[in-house]
Amino acid sequence: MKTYTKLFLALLLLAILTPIGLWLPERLNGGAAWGEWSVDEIKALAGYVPRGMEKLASLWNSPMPDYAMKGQNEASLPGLSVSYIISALLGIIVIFAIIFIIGKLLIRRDDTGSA
Amino acid sequence: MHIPDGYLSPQTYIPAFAAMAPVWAYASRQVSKNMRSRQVPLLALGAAFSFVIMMFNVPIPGGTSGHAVGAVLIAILLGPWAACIAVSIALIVQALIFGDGGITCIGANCFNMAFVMPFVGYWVYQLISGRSSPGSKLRIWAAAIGGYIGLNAAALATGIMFGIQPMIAHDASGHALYAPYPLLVAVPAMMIEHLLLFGVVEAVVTSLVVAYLQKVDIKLIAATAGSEAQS
Repeated sequence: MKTYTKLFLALLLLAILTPIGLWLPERLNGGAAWGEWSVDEIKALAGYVPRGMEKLASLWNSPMPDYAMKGQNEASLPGLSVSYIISALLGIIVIFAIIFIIGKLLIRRDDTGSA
Repeated sequence: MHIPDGYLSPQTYIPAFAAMAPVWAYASRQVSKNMRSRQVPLLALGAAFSFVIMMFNVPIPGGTSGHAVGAVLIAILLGPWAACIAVSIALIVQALIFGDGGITCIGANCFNMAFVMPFVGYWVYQLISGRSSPGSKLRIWAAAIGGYIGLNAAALATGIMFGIQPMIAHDASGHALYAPYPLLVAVPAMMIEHLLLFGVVEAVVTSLVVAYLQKVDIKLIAATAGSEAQS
């Protein structure tokens, strides 16, 4: 099997295993990454919501916030896990598409070119 | 390490975009000049790997969580400029589609994770590897230490960006307008967790893949090893 094929299969396996990245912090009470709190969390931590932050925080409405479906029940770990895997696969597809387009545009040299 | 919208003042995120614009332009030129079309699948695999590995949140019990980035690994395989492009694309997709990292902070997040990290890590990897053969054990250690230091350099840059916000922007009552914690809080908070745990995760991930590729396809390691290494 070609190395790239092996690496691609390993990547798909990783994508299926991504819910580990949800479960572990949940089980061990990991909490949000430092500096990535929601507006509510920062209010509890700092005692106030910084005014500039309040304005900017809701600037962008991503289609799948936090690798979940919009409005998805945040308490359902199995449901979130399915969305997490779908997000991983979607991310892989989008990134492959972008890189192959960039590769086509930028890279003209193929194997026959000199080193 | 993905700074969300609202944590950085315009006085920070606009210069970060301004700093990244020439980096992205030069990185594109380097990729265009040095990469072959047969390496494009590896670049795609690297970017997608970075995206997926960042989803594996590792907790510090009772406190916080973090993750590896994979930027130094891509730099070892394809050079730091290619790593810059690959990780930037992963970060942009995360921000736009998944709301992970703010869109105003794309420049800043790319500066930390797609510029500082692969270059620092790659430099450490090359420094330790020296002229050793692509298959040498030394390169596995070099990859581990490069990954560890690369991620910590990115964490330091991120901590500084957080920490300067209260100085840059606060209202009359002294309340910060953006990220509220000063340097003396933000930098240690970012560094301790990355020095203790997330850097170790990055080191393990980076060195495992390098050790695996030494076994199955040594020419992938050889591409940036030796005199013709792209810089």
